[in-house]
Amino acid sequence: MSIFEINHINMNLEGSTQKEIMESLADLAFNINIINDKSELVKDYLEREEESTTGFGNGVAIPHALSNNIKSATILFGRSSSDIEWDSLDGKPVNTFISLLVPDDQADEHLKLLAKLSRKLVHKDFVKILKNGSETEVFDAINNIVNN
Amino acid sequence: MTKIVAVTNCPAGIAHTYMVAEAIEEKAKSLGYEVHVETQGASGVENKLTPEQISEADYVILAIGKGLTDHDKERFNQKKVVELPVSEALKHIDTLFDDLEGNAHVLSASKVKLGSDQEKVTEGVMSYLMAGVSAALPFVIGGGLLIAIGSMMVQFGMPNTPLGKGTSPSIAWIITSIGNLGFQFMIPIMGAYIAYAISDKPAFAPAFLVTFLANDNELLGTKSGAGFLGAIVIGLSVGYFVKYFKKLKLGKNFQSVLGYMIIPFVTLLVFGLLTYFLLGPAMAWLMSVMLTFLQNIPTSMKVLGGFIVGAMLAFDMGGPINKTAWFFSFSLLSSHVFNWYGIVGVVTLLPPMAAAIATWIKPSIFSKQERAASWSAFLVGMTVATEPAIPYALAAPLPMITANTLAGGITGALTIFLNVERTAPGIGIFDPLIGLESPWYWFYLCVAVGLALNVLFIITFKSHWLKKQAAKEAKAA
Repeated sequence: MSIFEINHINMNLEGSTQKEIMESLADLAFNINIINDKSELVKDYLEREEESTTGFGNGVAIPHALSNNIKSATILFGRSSSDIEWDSLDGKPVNTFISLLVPDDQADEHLKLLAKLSRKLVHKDFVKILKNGSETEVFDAINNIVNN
Repeated sequence: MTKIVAVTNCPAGIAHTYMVAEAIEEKAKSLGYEVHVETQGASGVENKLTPEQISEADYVILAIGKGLTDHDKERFNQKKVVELPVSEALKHIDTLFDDLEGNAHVLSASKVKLGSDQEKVTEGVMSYLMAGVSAALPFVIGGGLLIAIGSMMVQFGMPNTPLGKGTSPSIAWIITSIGNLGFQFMIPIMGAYIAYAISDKPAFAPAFLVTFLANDNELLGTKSGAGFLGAIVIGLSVGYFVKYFKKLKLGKNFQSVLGYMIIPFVTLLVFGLLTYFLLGPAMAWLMSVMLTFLQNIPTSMKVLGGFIVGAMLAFDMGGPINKTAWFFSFSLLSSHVFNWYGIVGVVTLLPPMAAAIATWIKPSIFSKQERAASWSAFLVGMTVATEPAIPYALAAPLPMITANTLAGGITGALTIFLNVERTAPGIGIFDPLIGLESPWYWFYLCVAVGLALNVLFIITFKSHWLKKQAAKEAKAA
């Protein structure tokens, strides 16, 4: 299975709080069969947020987790209809989510793909697509980075 | 062109490590800087910085989310470093480069460069002592010059009125008092920075306070503070104590307060009490034993006595051994015996002046900072105080103390043999001119011989010692 596919996207994540969004992302991950346990992923997300926020500004957050609960390295993408308080670096709420999931025995090549994607997140034109692009545009943009 | 190297890491090593690396690279390139960023992520270290890249870099940015290893810190020793949490780096990437110079501090880790030879690097205890030297030098320079100005003013006839009830102090007294603060705090600063070099911030406060206590004869109830040798002992022991203390695992709730609360509190309590109940009495006992010994030197062995007193005076420069010899000589003034105090007048000039002269004759065996401090050490040393020699001794205790002690001893013997007499404390090398020390010709002869020997010993011993250190290092590498 590829690290990112069209069914890893949910343009309408349900929830109005940080935890509810994480639960929706966990649902998505569970449905595509890359995690064993939903509540464990939410717990890992929350622990990471406690270290420091993953909301890096501009309404985008990258909740991520590194755990043996995760079966293979995966990227999830989602948008929420309402703005979510995420304690972001710029203080603004968040509506765009890109989640990186990594098993703790992950092979290097996948980590490199995620690193490549992370690097892209500081480029304004890329973030613009994530925020405003259609489902296909988002898919193409991410796919271009990780599947090429 | 401005050159920058950076290291990024973060808790999971998945996202921020790379986001910040990219952000730093993009920003630096847009400013026309040359940049290399090492990422320490979940898949290991990538783009590892080479020693050349590091040595050429003007600034080092450490955007850190999970701390740095000691090895990492060593790589950037003596570089201008801007250190900040990885999330802060991401947040402030647009302004991060605005004032690198202002935000950077020079990292002093556990390595040190000696002399002009930048390749020569020493690890371990010596580097911790060097951290103490760099911190203490400005204190002794600033303080020493103020004291020198104050004493000059008094010698040229201005009043030396201390602060008292109903009297306002004279300007000469005020300047001298401010200068004295430099000497007073030089010692605790040394202890604090030695400990800081070993185990970072948690060790700083306890080492500062305990060294202050150990050097304060009033608090301790002794006749002398522990001086710079006390600072070495306390700085090193607090430093290593905290280093192992930090490894303590206390569980999530207490771990966060370990560094700034538990360690400083426990360390201060333990070492404070140890200093008060062990070091203080031990010093008092040592001093009284030595004093009895000096008082029992038979008159027929005057030259040997002069050697011992001279050696003691030069040994720890303000510490208990020096103070004992000083007490012995000074107290004889009241019985109109002036020749022992004559030794004080000659020998206490030697260590700082000799250290300064040695830096001029053979600069390669001294650090840049030591060379820069030489003029002030020379001026202050020849007029009012031995303290400027302390940083030089701290930087290389064994050869410097040996050189000073040996030269002090020989000069002491010569001084008493020629019967040079000193009647009161004055302004060092000018004492004979104002009638405090006589005969003037023997005085200057003793100083000249003493300086020549002291400089010769310093250069010989320290060169040899550096060679041995280098050999030891080559063997270890």
